[in-house]
Amino acid sequence: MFTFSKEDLLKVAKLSALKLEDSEIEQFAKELNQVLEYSTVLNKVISTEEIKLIPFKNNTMREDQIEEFDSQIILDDAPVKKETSFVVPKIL
Amino acid sequence: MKAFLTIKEIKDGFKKRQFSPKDVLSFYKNRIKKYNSKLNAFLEVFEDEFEQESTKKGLLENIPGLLKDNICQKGRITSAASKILSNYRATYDATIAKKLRDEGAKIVGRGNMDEFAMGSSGEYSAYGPALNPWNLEYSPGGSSSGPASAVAAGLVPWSIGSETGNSVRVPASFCNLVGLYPSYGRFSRRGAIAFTSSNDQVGPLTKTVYDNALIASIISGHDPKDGTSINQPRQDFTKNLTGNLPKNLKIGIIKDSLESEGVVPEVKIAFENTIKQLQQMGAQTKLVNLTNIEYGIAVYFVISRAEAASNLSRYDGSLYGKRTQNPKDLEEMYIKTREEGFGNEVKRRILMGNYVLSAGHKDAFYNKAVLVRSLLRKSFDDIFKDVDLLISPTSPTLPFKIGEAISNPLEMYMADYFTVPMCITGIPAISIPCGFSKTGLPIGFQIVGPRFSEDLIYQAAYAFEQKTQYYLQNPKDFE
Repeated sequence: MFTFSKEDLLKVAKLSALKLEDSEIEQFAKELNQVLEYSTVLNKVISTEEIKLIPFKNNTMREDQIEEFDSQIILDDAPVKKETSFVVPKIL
Repeated sequence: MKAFLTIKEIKDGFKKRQFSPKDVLSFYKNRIKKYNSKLNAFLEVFEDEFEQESTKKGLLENIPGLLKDNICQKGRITSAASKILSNYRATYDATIAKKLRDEGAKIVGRGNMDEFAMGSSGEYSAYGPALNPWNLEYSPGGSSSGPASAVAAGLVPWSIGSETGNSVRVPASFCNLVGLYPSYGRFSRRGAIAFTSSNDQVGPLTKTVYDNALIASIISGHDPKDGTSINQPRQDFTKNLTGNLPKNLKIGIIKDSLESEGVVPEVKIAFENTIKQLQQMGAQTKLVNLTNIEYGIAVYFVISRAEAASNLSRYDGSLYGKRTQNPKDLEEMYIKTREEGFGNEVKRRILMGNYVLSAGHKDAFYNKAVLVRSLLRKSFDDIFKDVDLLISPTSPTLPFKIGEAISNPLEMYMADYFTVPMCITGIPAISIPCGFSKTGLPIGFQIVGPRFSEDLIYQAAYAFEQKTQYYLQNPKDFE
């Protein structure tokens, strides 16, 4: 039988760059287990047919042309900026 | 001016000089002022838009409308009803926003919604739920809750929502409106905030089929800046609205509509009457069995969460949106920004998405869902060799009471049973009104067609609407 455990939850929270409060862990694990368990119904489907898995679109190409764009309005949305750069905490 | 005018009626009124553009703008400004505090349909009203008439001539000249808060309007906050984007100002216009304004439309606000369009009742908005004007204790449906609530209450004659699983059609059904989920690629998505890129489409919400077809015509057509936009010119979907069904139209009734216990009795009765009506209008009907439809919800769970996890990884506080205060390093910035910025439903979906994509689980969930999705697409292809259109109730239930649906997420998700299959296969469907419950709550049904059959869908929907005229009924407290 399928189970999604608290350990599974903590592992995937790390992958998702999300931290959960202790009070949330129990609740989230329960809710996600419910939805995931329901989704295991997909394993009942067995297809012997050759099925095309690609979506309906073909690749779309266009010319790679430069368009004028005022970079200032993009910088205006930055949480922290310095002159023409975005500022983030030190990486190294 | 009267409340609840359609776009068509407003245009006629202009032509006959019954009122001026100034009259219309101040009329709607006042209605929004009077009623929005009850409904919470608008997250923001653009007061300045009411001050001057449109500078462009066209099909929507000086006719006000509302866009869902996940469709970019240059210079305006576009938050997807999330705290994480609460300060984000769009740096460009969504292509459809531009197309609407080029026809003279006045876009007068941004509409409430479930955060990042994740939800079925509007209650996952970070800014409180929008309410249903037919009964304020009920949800207008989600995720396009605000756009639906606003049109139903006559605060604007049209709005644009977006849909990934149910989010235009269910609100239409819960609010006595017309709502379209188009063929994948029919309308440009440039500037619409991504949730599940293989399903997401924008769609109009209106009181009538004619108005819906008019908006659809305006926003159709190829957009070279959207790689998923189909290479077809703009179409006029209003031209085949004759009021009659095409001769020898064959309509398939999705079997579960009548046989599933999940469809509540009042919805079933309204739907049975709809079938009789369509038969009287000359349609041939037959019950059809859509193979694998019962897996639709599971396919949707897996694919929508996988793509959401991927699409929402961009919100990390570095380039735009909210950033946590004084993070000590980069990792803390990412984690705390997301913890503070996302609501619980969004977190749940990201977590599940990363789980179904992670090593050891991808085969059992994601790959399987992609396979079943393709099988379902084949089921539709096969059925449309036999019938022209399909019908079913839009939602198996009546509108949710506020607070009830979100207390049991799995149950709420199951209400998408009839709408999800079209989204995961990219085929068009329209929800139109087909009755009311004893307590006066609206009920809708949907007409579904093969890919690119919007013309036929609109023709059939218009014929049904002209015979039944549910659109003439409006919520009483908003006269």
